[in-house]
Amino acid sequence: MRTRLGIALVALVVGSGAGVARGQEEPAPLSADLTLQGREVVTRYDVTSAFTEAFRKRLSGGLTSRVLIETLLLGPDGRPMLAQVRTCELRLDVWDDLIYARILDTNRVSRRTYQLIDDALRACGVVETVMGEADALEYRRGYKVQVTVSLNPVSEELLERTREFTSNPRGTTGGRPRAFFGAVARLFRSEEDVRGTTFVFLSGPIARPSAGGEP
Amino acid sequence: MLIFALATVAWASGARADPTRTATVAVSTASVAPDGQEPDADVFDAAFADEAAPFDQEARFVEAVEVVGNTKTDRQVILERIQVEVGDLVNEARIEESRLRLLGTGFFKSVEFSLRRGSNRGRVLLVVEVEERNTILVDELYLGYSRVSPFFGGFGLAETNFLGRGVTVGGSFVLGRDRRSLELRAFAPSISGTPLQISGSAILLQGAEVLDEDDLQGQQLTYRRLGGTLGVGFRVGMAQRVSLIYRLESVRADRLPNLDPALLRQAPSIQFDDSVLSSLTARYERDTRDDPFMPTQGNRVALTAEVGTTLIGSTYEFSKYTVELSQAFLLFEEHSLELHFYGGLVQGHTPFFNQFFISDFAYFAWNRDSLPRNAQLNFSESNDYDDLVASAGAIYGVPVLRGKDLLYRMWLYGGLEFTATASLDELQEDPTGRGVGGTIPLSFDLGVKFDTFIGNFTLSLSYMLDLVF
Repeated sequence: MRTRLGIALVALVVGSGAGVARGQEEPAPLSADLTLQGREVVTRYDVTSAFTEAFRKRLSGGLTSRVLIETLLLGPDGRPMLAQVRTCELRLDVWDDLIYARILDTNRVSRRTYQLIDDALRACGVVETVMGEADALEYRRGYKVQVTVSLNPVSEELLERTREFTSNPRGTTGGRPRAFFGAVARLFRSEEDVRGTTFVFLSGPIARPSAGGEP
Repeated sequence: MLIFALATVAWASGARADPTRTATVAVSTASVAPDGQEPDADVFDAAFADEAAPFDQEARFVEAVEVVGNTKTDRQVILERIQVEVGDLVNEARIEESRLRLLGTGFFKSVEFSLRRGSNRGRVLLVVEVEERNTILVDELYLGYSRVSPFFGGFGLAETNFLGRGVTVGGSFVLGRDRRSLELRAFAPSISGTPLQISGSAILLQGAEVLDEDDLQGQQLTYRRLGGTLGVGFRVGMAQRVSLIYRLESVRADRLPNLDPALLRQAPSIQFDDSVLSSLTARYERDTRDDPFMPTQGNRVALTAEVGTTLIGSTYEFSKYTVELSQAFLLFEEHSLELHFYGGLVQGHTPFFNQFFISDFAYFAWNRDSLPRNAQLNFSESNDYDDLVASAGAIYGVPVLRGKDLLYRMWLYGGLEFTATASLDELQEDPTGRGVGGTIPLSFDLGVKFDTFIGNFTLSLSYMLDLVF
């Protein structure tokens, strides 16, 4: 009887391990292309779908919203070959009902003013960026563009500064379970609340662009 | 159109210091091209950008602070955590810090700040919109059986935002054969917005300890405890606090007439009849972990010294020192690894329930018949309380599910622990000491952890193995 109980428990624990695959979130599909501009590789894509309702609500509240867009060009083996970063700062002026946008790419800064939030978001999320020298692309095909969009990311320093004691109300760390089914209080802010929301996009395989348009 | 152009100029204050750029900015208009791009917007190379004047804003003063959505939480509890006051310039860094501090209380599901037009241009209302969450949590859950007690069970509840005042109150109880315990506690994390904290607890306990493991129906040591603690704490820096706690307990232990002298010598240490446990504890804590349940970064340090002396009315003369260290790591993007160490020493004479009990630290180990104590009660046949403890181990957690409403997250975890305890007296008599958690000091655990809307729960295989074997 006892042995059977033990086996049932092990099965329960192992069975829950089957959920591992479900726990990992797959990147969202991304429609991206690669073209040549002179000797440089340029990628284009649209990640405006990452701008959630909560993000739009915050933006319409008159405080500055920040977006970090990290672009990686992955080789056929999945290794990053080229990288670029864009940051956007967007703020609605509550008196003028205008959205001020500052978009920083690696070698450019643009400041624009919009009347519609959608237009400002499109300026930030529709990206056309130089990834680097075309010579870096040694394979003919199989490239992928991976984009990580972080909405209002919070710095580690600020997180450190605002962290309250995370011990449970008794001031202990929990330690070993006191019972088969033990519990400790949950007191803390959720990861998403604190760090902001992050989305990952991944394109399908793309061929190396060529000047003549042939892969 | 002109206003728009002027506003743009005002915003780009860097341009004011740069006549060249002013000329560029001044031609901005409200017209938006069909593709959403403004052909005449201000675009220039970073090499010419004035980084000292980024994303500038005209001065905006906070005219009032409006709190919305707090049906239960006292407005003052919220305002105390906001770093911006009426009359201040809008400081977005401080507003973000305030948002994180409010989320850190655990009282709110979401906290959003926004601005609204004030009475005049340049004046704004700072609006704090909160969505409250359930703050009544299950923080202890006991369920088990043993050779000593065919069944024991109980639970603890904590309200972390009592009457909306931001004060934690809680209680727990456990019941079993010859044993029962009731604990109450309260904790005010901030008194009137100051770094001062106040805590208090009370305990009413009736317990029993087995004296002969081969005769569970034989005579037991029965005792009662009634008392509590009162503490003051100060936040002394980032995630740090020091506390001073006074503890006063009335203890009564029944005498053991007609007991075999050999068993009497091995009985847990306590003063028979009535006694008083009165002690002062100084405690330093630093906790930078991101989560105590399944941390992925940060560390925790806790140093404690407790002194009991007749000078403060204690029957027991003793000192007790403990050290707790842990460091968390993030592995493979989402896995959690926590390494930890616990060390403790008791000098002098203290009641056994204030000594170290190996199963409070170790997981399941072969050839060791004890369970961790529940609400300070021992439901196992072991009465091996010791003066020294050293325990080091690791817990590795893998997230397996992520939910939204009821079950937020689930992890599969495994733990290993090396634990050794010893009695100072016996160490002096016998260099090998005793109490190393059975034949080997290594113990292990496997289980599942759940983060739910009513608390964090652990399904522990080691506890079940302890019961079964």
